[in-house]
Amino acid sequence: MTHRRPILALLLGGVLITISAWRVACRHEWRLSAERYATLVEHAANGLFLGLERESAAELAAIPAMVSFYDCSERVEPEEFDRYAASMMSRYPGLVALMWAPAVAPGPADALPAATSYPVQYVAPRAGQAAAAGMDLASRPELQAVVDAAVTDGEVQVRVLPAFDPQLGDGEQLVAVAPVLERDDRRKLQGVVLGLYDIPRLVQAALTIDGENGGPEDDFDLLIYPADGDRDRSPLYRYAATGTQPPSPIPLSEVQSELHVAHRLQSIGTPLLAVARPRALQPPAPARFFSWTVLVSGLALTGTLAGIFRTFAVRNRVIARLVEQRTAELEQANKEIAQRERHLQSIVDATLDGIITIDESGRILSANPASERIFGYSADELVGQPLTRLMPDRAAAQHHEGLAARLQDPEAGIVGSTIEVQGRRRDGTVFDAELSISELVGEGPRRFLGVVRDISPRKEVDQLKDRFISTVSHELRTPLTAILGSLELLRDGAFGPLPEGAAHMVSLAYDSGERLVRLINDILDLERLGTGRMDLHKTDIDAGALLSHVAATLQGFASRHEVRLELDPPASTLQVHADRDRLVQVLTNLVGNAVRFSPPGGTVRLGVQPTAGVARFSVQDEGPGIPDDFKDRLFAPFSQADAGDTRRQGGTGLGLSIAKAIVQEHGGQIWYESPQGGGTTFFFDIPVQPVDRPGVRP
Amino acid sequence: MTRPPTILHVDDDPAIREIVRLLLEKIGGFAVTSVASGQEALAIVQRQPPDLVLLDVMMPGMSGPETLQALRDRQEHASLPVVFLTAKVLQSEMEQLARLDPAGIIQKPFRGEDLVSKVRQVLAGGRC
Repeated sequence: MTHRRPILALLLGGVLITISAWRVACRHEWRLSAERYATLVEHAANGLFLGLERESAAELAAIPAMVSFYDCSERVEPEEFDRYAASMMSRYPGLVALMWAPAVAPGPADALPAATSYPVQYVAPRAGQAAAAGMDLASRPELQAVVDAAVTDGEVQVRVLPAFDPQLGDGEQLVAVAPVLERDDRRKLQGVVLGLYDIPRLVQAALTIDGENGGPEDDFDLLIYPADGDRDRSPLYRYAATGTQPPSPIPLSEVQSELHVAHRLQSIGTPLLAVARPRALQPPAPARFFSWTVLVSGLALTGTLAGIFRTFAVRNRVIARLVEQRTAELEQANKEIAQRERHLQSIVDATLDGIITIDESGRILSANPASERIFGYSADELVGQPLTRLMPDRAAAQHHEGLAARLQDPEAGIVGSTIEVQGRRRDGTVFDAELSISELVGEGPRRFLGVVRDISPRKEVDQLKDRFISTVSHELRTPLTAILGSLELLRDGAFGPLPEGAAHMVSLAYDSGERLVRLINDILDLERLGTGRMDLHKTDIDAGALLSHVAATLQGFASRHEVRLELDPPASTLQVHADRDRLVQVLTNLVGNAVRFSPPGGTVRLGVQPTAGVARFSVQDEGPGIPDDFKDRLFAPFSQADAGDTRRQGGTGLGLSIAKAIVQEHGGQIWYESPQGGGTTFFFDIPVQPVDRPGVRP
Repeated sequence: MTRPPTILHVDDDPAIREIVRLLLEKIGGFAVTSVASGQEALAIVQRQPPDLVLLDVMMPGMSGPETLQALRDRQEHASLPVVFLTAKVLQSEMEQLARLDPAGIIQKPFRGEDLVSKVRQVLAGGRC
């Protein structure tokens, strides 16, 4: 996976850097250790050298002591010399031989130019007597040089020279020479004292001054070289602590390339170079605390960084996946929204009603294809135009100022209702339209939705229907007028009294004719009520007075049926908001029915009482009650309990349907109670206050 | 003996003309002249103005409202009471007629007694 690569790189880089840092730290530690070690070595070596200097100085004191010995003695006998020298050599372990050589000036007899000679007179120990006695020091150039230097300087001179007599030691020795002056004439040289020192014994004495091992010398190889000799030559002496291997005889140059401390022995005039080389040439391993700290911290830091990075990487991956998921969800949601939008758009596009949205000021924001068809404008032409452009001039002028205000004003009743308006097409023709305006719910400025339906076809159908009804009605009524008029004239004896049978027939014909007129009227009413085209002229009416009026009107009718009408008026004045004529029509119908179905001698009670915002009218009879199988269709048109009854009762079978329609048109309801055992009460409620009914056209 | 009120009835239907004349004469005792068209009515009114005109609405040629308008247009007959007799029933039609401000509107069919009483009412200066 791609996200692992940076982590690996980070890990690798971190480890590499850490290791580099670790190595630097190690080197630093080693360097520090080496420096510290070198300092330690130097200190320790200086201790050694101090011992060497002290011993050398002490041993060399034997020579001035001999000089003093000669200075104090008139004449030194051989035994005296031997004794004194022996005491010296026993005191100084490095001193292996002492010699006395008097200075012999060249005699005047010698013709040849000759130098002073120094024949050895005394030698201690005696073993060396045979070899050295009589030997002229001046005969050996290397000795001559030392003697000359000592005589010239008047001081002890020390040199490293090869042993000149095997009896007096081997290898290379320190030769110390000091002049002895005449007692009575200090300008004259009496002779020279010469001491031979064995270098190993000298060094040994210096290092075993404590007589024990375990001093700093145990940690070192001590190598003694001639101070100014060939750097490639082997050491004069190699010291090894007791029980240890002496170091290999490596030349000075090699020693100097390693860890070492060199020191010229000052006390003997620097002819010897002491070199201390630590046995452990390498410094001890340093404490690795720092480097390990670096390593561990580096690795830990790398690990932590990698961990953090990985955490972030993982989180990033999680976030990336989340984002991916969310993106997918969003895309899906967008797709669904787009789909829904297309669906909604297709509904808007496909609907046959014009759908127009407008802003608060009445400007068109959008228009669907149906609006384009209805008005003849393209949507592009409509958008941004005032809605009044789609109205006839008269209406437009009326609406121009007021539309915006009326949209804002809930009292104006424009929003949320359906109104009939006139629209104007592009070609100028005006048509009837139904407009429903509702407010769009949403954010931002208020917007309104107008649904426009071209109702001109419906209007035309309505007009056609009206014309047809009018014509049919007209054509029916005209002959009926003649028929009824003729019958009335006959019945009333305008042409003389009729025979009994004929009078009866005429009466029957007249009643039937009247019923036909009622039927025509009822059908017209029902048609108008059914299509909602009956206009109600509502006013505030005194319900009690209305009841009295109906009772008075029907009094004659009731009397003919031998039925009593009783009034049950309200306790106080009760007003209803209704169309008076239509309310009379309902009451007349109900009272008429009640009278017709009452037995002779029965009573019909009319009442009205206020109930929860309505006036409840009631008409109660003492008739046979309503048959159970008829209750379901009591209010249906042309329904009567018994078809055979119709003629006898004289109704059209439409009265209750019309009554129900009128009551409903007033926003009320009608029902009845017909208990077992006879007697029926019809109730209907009419609102006391004007009611706003949805869908009612203003 | 006082002269009976004169009624001019205008209707294109001869049966209605006859019945209305009989009803008005027999029940009301009016003197009735019947004509079949608006033009004839205008001629009669010109010649011998009646006390009241009963005018059918739907007639071929000159309609009832046109006849009324024509009468109104003549200064001397502008105040002649005119009652429409009509078989029209639609509310819109009735409102249209009412706008012409006739002395009354009587719907067909009608009872003879009602017709006579309404005519009397109008003759007495009222409306119906």
